[in-house]
Amino acid sequence: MKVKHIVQTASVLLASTLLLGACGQKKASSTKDGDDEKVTIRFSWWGADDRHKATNAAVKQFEKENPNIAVKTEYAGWDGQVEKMATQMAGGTESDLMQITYDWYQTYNADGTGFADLNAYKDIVDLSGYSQSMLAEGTTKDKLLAIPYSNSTHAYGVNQTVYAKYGVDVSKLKTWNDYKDAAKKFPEGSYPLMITSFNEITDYLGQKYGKSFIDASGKVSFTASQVAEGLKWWQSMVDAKVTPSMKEVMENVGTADGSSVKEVVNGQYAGFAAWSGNMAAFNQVLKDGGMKMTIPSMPRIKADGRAGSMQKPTMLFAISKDTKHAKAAAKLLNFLLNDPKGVKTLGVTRGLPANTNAAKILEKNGQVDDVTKMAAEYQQTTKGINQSPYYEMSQVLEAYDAPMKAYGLGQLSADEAGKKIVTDVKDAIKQIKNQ
Amino acid sequence: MQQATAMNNQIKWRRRLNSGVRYVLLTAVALIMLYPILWLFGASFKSNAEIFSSISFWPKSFDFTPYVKGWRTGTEFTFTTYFINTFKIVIPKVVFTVVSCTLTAYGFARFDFPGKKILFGLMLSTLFLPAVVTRIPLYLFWRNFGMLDSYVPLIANTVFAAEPFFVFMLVQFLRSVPRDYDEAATIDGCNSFQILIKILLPILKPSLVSVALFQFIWSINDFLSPLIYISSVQKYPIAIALKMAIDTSSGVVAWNQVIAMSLISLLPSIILFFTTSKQFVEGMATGGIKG
Amino acid sequence: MKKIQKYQGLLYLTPWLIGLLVFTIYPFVSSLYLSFTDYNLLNRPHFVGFANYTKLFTQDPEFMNSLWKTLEYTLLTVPPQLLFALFIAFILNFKLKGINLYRTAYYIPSILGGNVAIAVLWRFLFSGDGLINQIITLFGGSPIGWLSNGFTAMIVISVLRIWQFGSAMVIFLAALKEIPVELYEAAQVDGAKKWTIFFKITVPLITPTIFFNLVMQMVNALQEFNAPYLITAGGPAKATNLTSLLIYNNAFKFFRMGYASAMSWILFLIIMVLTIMMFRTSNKWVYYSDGGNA
Repeated sequence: MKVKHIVQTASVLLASTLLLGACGQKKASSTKDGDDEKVTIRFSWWGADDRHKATNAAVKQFEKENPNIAVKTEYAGWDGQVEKMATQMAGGTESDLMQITYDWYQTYNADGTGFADLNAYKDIVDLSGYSQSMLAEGTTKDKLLAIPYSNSTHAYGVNQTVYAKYGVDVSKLKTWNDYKDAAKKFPEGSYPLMITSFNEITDYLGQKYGKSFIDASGKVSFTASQVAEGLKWWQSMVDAKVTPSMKEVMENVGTADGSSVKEVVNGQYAGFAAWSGNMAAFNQVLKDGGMKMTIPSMPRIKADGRAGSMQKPTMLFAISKDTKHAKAAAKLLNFLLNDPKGVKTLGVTRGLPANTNAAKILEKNGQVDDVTKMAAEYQQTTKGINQSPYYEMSQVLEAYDAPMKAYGLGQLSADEAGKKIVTDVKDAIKQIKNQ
Repeated sequence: MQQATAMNNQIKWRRRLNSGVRYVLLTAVALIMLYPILWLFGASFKSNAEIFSSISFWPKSFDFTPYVKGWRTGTEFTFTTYFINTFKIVIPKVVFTVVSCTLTAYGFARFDFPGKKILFGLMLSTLFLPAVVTRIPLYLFWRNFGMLDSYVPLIANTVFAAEPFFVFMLVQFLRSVPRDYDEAATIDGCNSFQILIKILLPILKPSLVSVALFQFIWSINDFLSPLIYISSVQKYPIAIALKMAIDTSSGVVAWNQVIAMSLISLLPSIILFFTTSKQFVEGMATGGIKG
Repeated sequence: MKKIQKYQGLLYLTPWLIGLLVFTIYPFVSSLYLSFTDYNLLNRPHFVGFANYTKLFTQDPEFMNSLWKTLEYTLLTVPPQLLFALFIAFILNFKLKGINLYRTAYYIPSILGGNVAIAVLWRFLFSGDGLINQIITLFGGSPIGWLSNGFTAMIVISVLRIWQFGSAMVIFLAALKEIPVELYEAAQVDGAKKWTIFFKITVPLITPTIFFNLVMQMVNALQEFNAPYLITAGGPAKATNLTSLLIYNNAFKFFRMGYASAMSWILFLIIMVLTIMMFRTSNKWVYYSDGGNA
């Protein structure tokens, strides 16, 4: 009896400290930032060197034009950002303006209250350059909680030099069968394409059935046997030597980014599927090795068939729900998204802006490099299927990735894997919704 | 006589062979141990393409731009700032650890008091819980004290000997020192603190040096805690600065710069190790296992 | 007099006790509390009783799998690492010219810790036609698919820990240094062989250190995170999905902090039981010069 009592008291005490933890920092968002009071806002992002430099420079310009607003920039590489974001969100200590991933947008925002509603600052942030569908990506329950900076399409890049060496004209690559024909001309151990992730299977199924794997509401659109069909298609690509087997991929690629894989660098794997925003990295390593990359049209089932490539926003900007200086943060956001100075300074360090006004400024200014241009053109000419925000959430990703790999290694049959993928993904989404 | 010289020669020859074998063995193992590091050194001069495609550690050309660029970083500060920050964290940590852990270990190893076993078990058990789940409560704790974005959360635990690894290590070392020394000193009129300072510390020196060394090296390498607690770039230590140029989320990594700076950040630890590891040699002159 | 002695011991422990109360108890108890909730970092934690724990053992084969893998990893790494460290420390304790350079050389891999460069390095060593496979083919063997097979992938991550044996080595070196020289001299006068001296004098005298290294390396191995995180991401097919990696993924990727806390406390209990067992057996083989027992 006594023990029970102690336990109860302790847990009540603890619960209250934890609640304090969860809510301690929440202060009424009093909009103190009148136009003449000096305020300091925090702005956070991750990236590599050129993004750091460009963003810091843009922030300096902004501070010059807005002497009442000081911006404290908080930035680092990608490593550890997931933990940092989680801790800050749990502690209510996140920056006033932050760069977030699509995954985070969904995770921290399931109920539409994770970030500040930007509709309140429409007079500060100019949204005229954004399409409705683009803004919809950052909208939950009629609240605009994040603004996508750039958009990515799932793309298939090829090593033009290697293709030419084996006598394949990359401009004629239209269908999956064209890749099978190309494979016949490739020597043993070289492959025209790398199919390594479930994304490629989703693309194929999308082309076949015209649906996304998961719809916006979180419903799985395919049956187990349809997924199994996709897996078998993948196996047919392996059999035709279009792509290395899962076993070979695991041995040579492991957990590496595609662009740092030896076989890609030396041209043995002459094609790769990746988000269009990541194509620049492939281009760079091939250029280092004296080779040329290009992005042919999206391979499909029939030359005049659906393209069905997945699309998603890559980086979004959101304002903290706890911020005391929402207006100042919104001003900075607008400067980065719309002000010609800000746009030019940022350049394409976050990919080509989804904001068409900004994209035009950059194009006119000659700041769009070839790869970005290529990726953008690909994006415009490829009719995409918007992927569900659930699709890349870690639990869901884990649920389809693991059975797919097990199938690739021969540990599961196509039917077993198909069934497991559908049930596991459904479970994962159910869990997310319940959280 | 002749026989004796022959024997002597034989012994000498044997000794030489012995030490020869030893050197060959040591060098062979050292090469295996160090080849990967040599490869990294070579890689710091290569382009990404060369790093991932070539097996030889010799780069096509020696170009020091990765070092220069890496040192400058893509931030408003250079590596100099990050090095200074690192020392601001690491040096207090080392000093506090050595002092607090010695006192705690002394308390555990040389005194009997009620509940000692339980306390000792409690101390060890704090090592058993994965840090992943205590990180957020600790973060909230420091937030409530307004200590975020300062070095206090990174250093504080060393003031209070909250480093069971070192305490346990020193306890084990103390326990291999016979108590006869203490008793002799007590008879000479030393109090317990004097015994620690005058008698035990000199004996413990090699282990204290290794405590300092480990704390130094591990603190320099610590990445996640500073990343979580420190949000101002100007306060970052090198562990974070090293990864500033790595954006794996978009595949853009200047690996040669990253590797170059990784190697440079190893230098303080290597130098410190090289100079202090003499501590383990000193005193050998009077004996030890010969030849 | 004796009473004062008692208080003296506690006096030396005061800083640690304060630290325990201030920094350690709070996060520990709150993570224990969270393990009984559905905390997801964003919403208030709701008390769910033993739900997390029952789920771990009845509905989550991945957790059980990870525990076995973790034990396998521990058995694969701790004994070879300690033997290697002891052997090298013994050799490095000789008076040889340039010995300091060798010591540093052997320690350098440990300084690297969980550096990002490790990921690049290990791929260079163990990929399909990486250095190791090239050496194997050189000697007429056929190359091994290190990372596509569960067991060989486990070896790949184990090699990293064994390679970083430096800390254990340094601790052994410090212990060897503390052995009174007179003991060796006495033994040498008796004409004992070097290996006899090693096993009959050196090893017994450093058993407290061997014990320390054994316990600590075991505790560390049971919590290993870096190697699978950097090198295999838990693959292939979960074969290297060590418990710490699973906990991390649940906490920060899937946002199941309550569930991750439950996993952590199970791991905590396992490590505690194993450590207690070690302390129990230590009475039989660890020799303390201060005359006390463990």
